[in-house]
Amino acid sequence: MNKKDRIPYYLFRNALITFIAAFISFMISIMNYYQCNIIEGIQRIFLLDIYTTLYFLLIWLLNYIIFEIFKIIYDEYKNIIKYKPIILLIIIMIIIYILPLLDLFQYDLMILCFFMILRIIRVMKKDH
Amino acid sequence: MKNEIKKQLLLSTIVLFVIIITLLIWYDNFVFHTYVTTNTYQYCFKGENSDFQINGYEFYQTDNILETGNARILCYQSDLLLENDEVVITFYVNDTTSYKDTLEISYDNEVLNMTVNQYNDILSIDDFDNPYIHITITRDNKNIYENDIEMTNQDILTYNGSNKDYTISNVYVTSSWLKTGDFSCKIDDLENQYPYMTIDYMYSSEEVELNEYERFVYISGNTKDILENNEYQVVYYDSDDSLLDNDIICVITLMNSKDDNDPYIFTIELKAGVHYE
Repeated sequence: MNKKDRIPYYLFRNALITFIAAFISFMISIMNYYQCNIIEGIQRIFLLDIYTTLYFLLIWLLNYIIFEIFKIIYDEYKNIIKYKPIILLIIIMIIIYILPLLDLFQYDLMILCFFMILRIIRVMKKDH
Repeated sequence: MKNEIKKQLLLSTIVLFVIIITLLIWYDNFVFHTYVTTNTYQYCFKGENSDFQINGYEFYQTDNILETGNARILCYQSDLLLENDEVVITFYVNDTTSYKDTLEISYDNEVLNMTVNQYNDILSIDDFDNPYIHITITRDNKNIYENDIEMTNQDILTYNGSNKDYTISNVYVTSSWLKTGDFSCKIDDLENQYPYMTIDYMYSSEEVELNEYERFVYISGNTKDILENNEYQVVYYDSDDSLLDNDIICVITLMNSKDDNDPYIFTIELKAGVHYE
């Protein structure tokens, strides 16, 4: 299978992990706020209010675009920078943790950074 | 860097900025609609025997205060509740915890509405172990009636509804009981624009024609007070079918003055959401 044939697979995989990042962060934030169970959390994201659902979709889209940009830049310079972005991502995660953001954004961006670190490790291992 | 990749990167960056700007613009709206204030829990108990029906016995927790009571007590017998009788209602949550309330009958066959009592307890649903109400009636210092009524926890659905600027949230509904919810809005000076308002809760009834609604409870008063959400009303649905099968809507009337002839009226449809047991 050449690279072009696998594009739908790559797109689906990115869509899935960015969805997971958005979903987990919404769930943690809402379950913390309402002290509720998983089912109620899912209801509150997808069924109760259209504005919450639309915001969820927007955050998912944001994650997707950020992840795509990261991939484009990293794949271009991976032979030069290698593992170094991991340090940068960890610093970004700490900054996000300190910043007075809504907890939802903190969880979301930190999970996204974590996925980026995983990808770097995977790509580096594959190339070796 | 290849030209193609440069183009991709440029396009992605533009899309990224569009999304970030949209997220910022929508942020207030999102927080307004997503993180609404709510009770920690809300339980509603119902029970009956051949003499009494007790409906809407509430336990609800906001912050660290437990509020109980607020139930309606209907007596099926005509000579059980007479003027000046004293009724003692004790709700046994389990063998060790109970909440007692004493009521005075002001006229014969009165429909009793219990008051709300506040405690500093915290309960959870696991604390309720075969709950029952012990009811005693005293007439002229003599005990004339004493019985236990088993209480069952009603399934509660939380209804919410909103349009862009206004939200009705946390309307608690069981098959035979409704507790009015919180009204909130995004408009900062709503109380100056419309100092008076009314919220009518209506349910669709099968007896009347389709798309017609009957009003069964309303909250009316100063907009400022209603926005603070300190007042709740409970209402009982005494019908064979379940209130949960009916559509519930709120009609909101905003008024410039108490006798405003041209008020601003709109409807918010309530949707059943979260399920409490």
